Amino acid sequence: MKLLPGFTSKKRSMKRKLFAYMFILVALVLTLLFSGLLLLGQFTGAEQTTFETLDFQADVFYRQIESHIEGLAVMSIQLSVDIADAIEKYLSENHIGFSDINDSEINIAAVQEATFNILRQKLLEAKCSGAFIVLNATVNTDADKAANSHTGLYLQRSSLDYSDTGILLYRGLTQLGKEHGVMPHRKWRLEFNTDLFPNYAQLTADSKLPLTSAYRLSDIFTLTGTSERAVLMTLPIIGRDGTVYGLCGFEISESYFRHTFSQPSKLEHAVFTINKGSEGIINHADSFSCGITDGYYLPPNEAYRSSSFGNGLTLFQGDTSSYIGVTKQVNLCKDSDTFYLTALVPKQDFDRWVLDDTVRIILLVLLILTATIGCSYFFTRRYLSPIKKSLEQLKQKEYDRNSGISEIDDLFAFLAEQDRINEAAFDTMRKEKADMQTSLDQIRNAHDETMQQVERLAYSRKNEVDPYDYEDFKNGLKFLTEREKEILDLYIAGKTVKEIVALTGLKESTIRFHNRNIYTKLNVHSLKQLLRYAAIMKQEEGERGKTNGIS
Amino acid sequence: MKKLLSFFLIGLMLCFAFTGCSDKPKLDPDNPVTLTMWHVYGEQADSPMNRLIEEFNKTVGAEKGIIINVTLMSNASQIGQKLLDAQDEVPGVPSMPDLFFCHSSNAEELGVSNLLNWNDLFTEDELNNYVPEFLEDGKIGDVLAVFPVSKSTHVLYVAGTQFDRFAKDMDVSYDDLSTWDGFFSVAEKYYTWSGGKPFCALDYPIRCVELNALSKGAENFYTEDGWYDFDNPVFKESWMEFAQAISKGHIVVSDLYSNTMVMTGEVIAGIGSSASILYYNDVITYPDNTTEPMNLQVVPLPKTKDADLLVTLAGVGLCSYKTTEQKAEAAAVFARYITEEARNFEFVASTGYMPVNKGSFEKIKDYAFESKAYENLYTTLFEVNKTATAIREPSFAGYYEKIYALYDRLREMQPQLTERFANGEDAAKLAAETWELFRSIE
Repeated sequence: MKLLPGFTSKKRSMKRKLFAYMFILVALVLTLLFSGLLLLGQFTGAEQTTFETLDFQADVFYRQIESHIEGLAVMSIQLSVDIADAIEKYLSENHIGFSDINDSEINIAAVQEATFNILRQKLLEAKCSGAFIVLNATVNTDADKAANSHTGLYLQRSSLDYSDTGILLYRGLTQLGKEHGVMPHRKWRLEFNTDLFPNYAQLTADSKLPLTSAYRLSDIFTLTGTSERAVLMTLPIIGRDGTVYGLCGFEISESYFRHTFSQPSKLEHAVFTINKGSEGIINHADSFSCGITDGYYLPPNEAYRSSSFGNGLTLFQGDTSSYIGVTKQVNLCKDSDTFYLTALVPKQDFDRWVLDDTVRIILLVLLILTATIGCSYFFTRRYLSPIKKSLEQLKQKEYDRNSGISEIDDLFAFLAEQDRINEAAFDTMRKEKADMQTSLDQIRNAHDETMQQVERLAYSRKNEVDPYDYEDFKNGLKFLTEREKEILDLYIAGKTVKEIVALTGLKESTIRFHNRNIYTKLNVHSLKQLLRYAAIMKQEEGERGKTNGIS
Repeated sequence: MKKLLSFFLIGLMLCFAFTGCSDKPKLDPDNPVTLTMWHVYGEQADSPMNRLIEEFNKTVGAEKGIIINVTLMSNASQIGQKLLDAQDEVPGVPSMPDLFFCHSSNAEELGVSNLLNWNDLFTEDELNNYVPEFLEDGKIGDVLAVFPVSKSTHVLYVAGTQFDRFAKDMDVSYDDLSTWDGFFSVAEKYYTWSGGKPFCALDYPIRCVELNALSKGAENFYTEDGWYDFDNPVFKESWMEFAQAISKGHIVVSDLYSNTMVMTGEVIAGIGSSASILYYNDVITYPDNTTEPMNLQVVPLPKTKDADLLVTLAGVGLCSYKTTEQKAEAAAVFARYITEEARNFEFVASTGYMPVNKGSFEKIKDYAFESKAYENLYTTLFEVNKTATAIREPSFAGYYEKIYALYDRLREMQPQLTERFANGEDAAKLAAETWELFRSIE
């Protein structure tokens, strides 16, 4: 808290304090978020993510191809052994040597017949698009280019549709094919032209046992008469005496490759290539490519030069397009050429991911900021503002009990009740005050009246009272009976004769009798004179009291 | 602040409202729609269609957000069954494509209600650019379900080098092949000259029988359930003419495609689709591995003597399986692209088809073809288009399965027929057996 003394100062407003705390909260949330993502490995750059994804894809691609090639190698070895056995069986049964099949339509037809079903069976069993046998023999050594013409069989699957077991005869005797229900390919030829057979001379020269290490993958070439490219797995056909009868193997066409090796991937435009030769370049001419499962891809269609892109990635730059990729160097055949498998994504996709990443982070920060500002605004409106408003109301003593905050409503209720109690007490006091004032006024009035009476009496005493009569009056008081004194006091108290009758229970005549005695003893002639003397006497007693009190 | 918030919410609601109420999902270059496709162009050889699709994907497709992905290449005779298998989700068969090429009969089997009506996607002005007969050929009822992209007809291919040698020896000429009578006569002479080899392989013999029957005045030889009226005497007469030639071994029903039989020297002529030219080799290879140049000649299908030339109007068309409006829009873009005047001509000129765009036909005369064989073909097609009457192929559901069954049975039967004829049996009697075979197909 000491870090932000300005915000925590008591003199700061609640609004500023809330803003400060929210700011701290945002910083904390962002720090925790990014730290958490970093710790969980989720917060990585596009380069790193791309490398990891492509490296994984390249691994999967490699394992699939390796497994496929191994399976095909096993089938090739079986094919080679079975074909060699079939040829030797035919040669043995007919007591001829292998060279005797040259220039012999009959022997060649017979050898093809002996091997046809073996080849067809292996074609249907193996994962490939075609299967072939090329023998070191020709049906006509006198024909043009006979040196490069080799008899044999080449069968192809008619469709990539696995439910379709149709087979076409690409090379071989058409009559034989028809007898086995196999129609000629539209671009059929009778024999192989080894000039067009990839690496034929080298493959023949390398033909040696053991078969387990003799299988090879050819260069990519175009199947004669078509636009289809293919790669061949080849294996020598070697007799028991070591005679090399020819080559056999399987074809993987470009269409088959695309269909079979398309990779499951979340990268929509990913491209996977295999090429033999240089790591530093991917050339459409000597590579196969495929895309993702059930997806479409634009195959690389030119030569791409490679350069390091950092983070384990390689940039493949062509004249019209470029890719980012990860390459793996692999050996698919023993003692043979190295292959390069590459998982690629178009550079423009990669650039977009980098941009997306940046935008995503900016949006995330903005989102958190917006959410916090929104929350602050909300808190201010829904929490702080009512409190401030209530405080203002407190100042104004306006207790609106609908503040929306129960504690404030309770406080307002309490204060209102206190006000009501205070008001009631005040009213009582005011009433008491008014009553007292009334009493005071009455007392004042009585006093004033008395004073006026006294003044009048004093005045009349001065003017009307005979001092001797008055002395007689005072002296006469000592001679009054108890009853007469009682009646005299009642007269002095202002009572009438009838009231005195009622109060004393005496008869009026009795009262009149006492009156005459009183008048006589006091030497007065009327009630009025009597009351006047009594008032003077009372006044004198009062003044005497005052004088005694002062003294 | 409160006002700002209100504007933001209103804006957001309007965004959602407009998004939800947009009448159709538009094509988006940043989020392209992929249409899978099956086609029949260049199955075993080169495929100009694949190149056209690649070009489309790179240009108009990339610009509008459409990707065409070819998932199967087949041929016109097999694609129908494969489509039905795909519709039935038969294991191993690729998924039903969004776009495919097939015959009208195949389209009918798939269910017209499952297919787009191209009339809804093209304006009347646009449709006026196409050859009306070709559009008519793609209609099932009132629905234009099969859009013409290219059309073929049947022509007579002749291996020129061999025919010239034979013609010189036997005093025959290409003119003799202009009528069926002349054709059968030449076939007989060749059979004799070659020592028992058939002259010609027919890919679609039933079409030859039909056209010949029509020329002879046959009417209504189809039954209501999409097969033949075997009580139609003219139709039977026409059949018997061909059947006798087959029985004698003068002509054969091709193994599948006549071009392979010409290439192996089994026959020197073949009647097949004009699109077969894509598959002809430059040379004929004999069993002893000797070869000679093909020198391929292309002439119109023979006609019936004293009748006008009738030719078949064949070829598959483009169908689009009904899925989403976005895909329908994309399909229409692609259909317009591949049938645009210049592009349509470039495409058909390399595949042996006839263009469907009226303007494309005029370009044939001045076009520099890639080979003499193609030039021969298009000279013939131009002449056929000018002079012949085109007859639509039957489009009855299930029709082609029966026809292919008939061809299979005839192929099995013909070696025995030839042998029995050689052994002295009467050709008319043997032909009658083929008629019974024909009648037995149901």
